[in-house]
Formats: sequence, structure tokens, C-alpha cells
Amino acid sequence: MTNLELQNVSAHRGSFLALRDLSCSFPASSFTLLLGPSGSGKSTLLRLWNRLGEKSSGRILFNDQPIEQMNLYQLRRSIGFVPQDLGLFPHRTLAQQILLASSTANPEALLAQVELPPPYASRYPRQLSGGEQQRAAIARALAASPPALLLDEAFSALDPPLRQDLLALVAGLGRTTILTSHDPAPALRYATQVVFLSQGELLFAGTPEEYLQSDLPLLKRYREAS
Amino acid sequence: MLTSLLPQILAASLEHLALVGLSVGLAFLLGLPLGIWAYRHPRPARPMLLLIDVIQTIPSLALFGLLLPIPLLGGIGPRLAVLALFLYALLPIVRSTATGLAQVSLSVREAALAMGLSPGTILREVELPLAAPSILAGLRIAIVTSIATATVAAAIGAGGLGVFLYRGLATVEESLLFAGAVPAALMAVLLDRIFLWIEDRLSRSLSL
Repeated sequence: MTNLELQNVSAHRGSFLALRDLSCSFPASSFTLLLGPSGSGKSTLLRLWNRLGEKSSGRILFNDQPIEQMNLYQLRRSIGFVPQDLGLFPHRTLAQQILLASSTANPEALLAQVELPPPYASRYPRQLSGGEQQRAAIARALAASPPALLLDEAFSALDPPLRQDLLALVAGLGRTTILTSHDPAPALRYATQVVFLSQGELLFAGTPEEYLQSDLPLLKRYREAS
Repeated sequence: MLTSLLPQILAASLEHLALVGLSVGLAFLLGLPLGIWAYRHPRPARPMLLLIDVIQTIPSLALFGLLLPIPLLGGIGPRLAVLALFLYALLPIVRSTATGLAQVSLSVREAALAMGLSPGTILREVELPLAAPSILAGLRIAIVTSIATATVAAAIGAGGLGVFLYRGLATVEESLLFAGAVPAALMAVLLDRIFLWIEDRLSRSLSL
């Protein structure tokens, strides 16, 4: 069980203030849909957790512990991360990259979790379809059995039925999950929380129902467009 | 005339290959870590890259001349030739290593970092294998240009195929020019093809 929390966090990207005084909590096993226009700070926020990006001020807590007090490698192994382009290693089989992530992992079992049959363990990413690559990236992110999972636009490129399958799968994993997306509609039914960023500031945080009923103009425009 | 030269051509070719192999091999041993360093610390690496760029622009005869008076390393003979060829070979190897590493996709790098891998593991398991085609291309260019430049090394008594060229020029004897130029060209083309083939196989196995 892992909860994540941001307290008055600001972060820069270069000299640009990408996140402004953000406070937000992500309860254990929650599925948060992180929304906002491009450039609103979604990816920056996601990368604060595993310290691919650093905050400028505020506190970031992982299980109530400030993340900079944790061992960097242990912190990263506790957070599964799937970047936008998946970041699969083209020169390694799925089993090899899963074992690189965690030498005690069981590649076949992890692949089974994302519904890829055992022969896939010895395949290279280029031998997989787009949907299979997404699954493989999720399996690899789960290698060290992280209690938290961060997905950066991970499903945007998929056709709708496949996206539904994967969303259901990720939601069923029971990890504390944050998924960023341009298009909220498909993920909304799986989310337990919606967080909406606008120009680096928290515009809205609430349940999916509250999101659907919100009168905020930007949210309305977002809902109508999707 | 040419057939009687054959044993000499063979011996000179081997000498030539040894000069190229030794100098490019040494350049690779130093160039690879320098390239990694240049990729990781682009700012402090700039003066070094500038220096090896400048070396590259010095004409080979002039470089031999400049290195001649250096104690221990200089002096007439193959040692000086190896030093000069080594300096020339550094540029393509260092540059291609740094470029190849920089071209590794951001999402692959982020995924590796997010896995909790150490920088050394990422370099060994992810970055260097993915940069291999580029590094190999640099090595290929270093070898091919060294084969050409090594002919000039005969001017400082380092031997190799250049010996025929200088003799041919001095005596205006065409067959001697051919005896030097043709094996050198063949050697360059052959090694170029072999490396291109490996690079091609490698790139194909590394594509997504």
C-alpha cells in the first residue's frame, strides 16, 4: 500500500516555472487520471516522483516519507514508469529487459499478467505489434513489483478497443496509479480520482463524477470536445 | 616487372596494415572513453574536441615534421608514424562515440533510469550497444583514412606501401606507383565493405 503526496510543490523546466505551488494527494491503490492541455505540467509532475525531474520547492512524499531522504535507486524501483514512447530496449528480448529491471523477476509470469503468452519472453520489441509493445512496457515496469505505477500518455496511440483492454488491465493491478492523458473519456470509468492541471496550477481535483459535473469553463470545454 | 615485385608488395602491405592496425587500435582504446566523457560532459569536453579537430586539419607531412623533434616519441621510423596516425584516428572515433551515445532515444534513457539502473549499467547495457553502429562507423572512417595517410609515412622511414609511391615518384616509374597505390586502395575498399556490412547488420538488429 503506497500513498503519494505533493505539498506546495513548484518545479522548473529550464528557467520556465512548469508547476506552481501544487498540493495534491494520491491515496493507496487509487487510479488517478491526470489531465490538462499540453504544456500544463503533467509530464513534469510525473517525473518528480522518480526524480527524473527535481522540484524547486515544497515537499514530495512517498508513504509519508520525503523522497529525497530515500535511496534513489530504491525509490525508482518502487515506482513503475512507462514513458510516452515506451522506451523499450530494441536490442534486448522482453525477458532480458525484464531481468535487467529486476534480476529476481519471473519474465513469463509478468508477461502473463499483461496477457502475453510465454513465447513472447524471447521476442524483441520490433517483433511485436503496437499494442503488444505497450503490454510489454507495462510488464517491464512491473518487474520489481513496484507499489506505484506511472503511465505517461501510455495508451494514446492505441485504437479504442485495445486501449479499453489495457486500461482495465492496469486498473485491475491495484497499484497506486497515475495516468496522464490528453483524452480523458476512455479512462474515466476506471479512475478513482481526476486531477486537472492548467498552466502548472491545480485547476481541479475530485472524483470522476465531480469532474463530469464541474462548471469550470476549461473542464467544460474539455468534456465537450471529447 | 610487377610480378617480380610481388613478395615486396606483400611485405609492404603487411607493414602497412600493421601501422594502421596499431594506430587505430590505440586510438580506439583512448577514443572510446574520451567519447563517453565528451557525451557526459559536453561543456568541459569542448576544448578537447577543438584540439582534435585542429590536429585533423594539419597536413600529414607537416604533422610528421612537427612531431619529429619530440623526444622518445619522435624521430625517424614507424613509432612516429603510429603516433601521427593515432592522432588523426582520434577525431572520427571520439566524435562518433559521443554522437552515437547522444542519439540514444530519450524515452529509452528515461526508462532505464526509471528502472533504477546505475549510470554504469545503463552505459554498458543500453547506451553503448545502441551507439555501436555509430561507433563502428567512426572506426571504419578512421581505418580507411589511415590506410591513405599511412602511405605518407614512408617519407619518415616508417615503411609500408608508401615506399613504392616515393620510389615511383623519384624515378618516374609508373609500375612502382601502381605497386603502392593499388594494394592500398584494395585494402581500403575491402575493409570499408566489411565494416559497412557489420554496421548494417547491427543497425537492423537494433531498430524497433
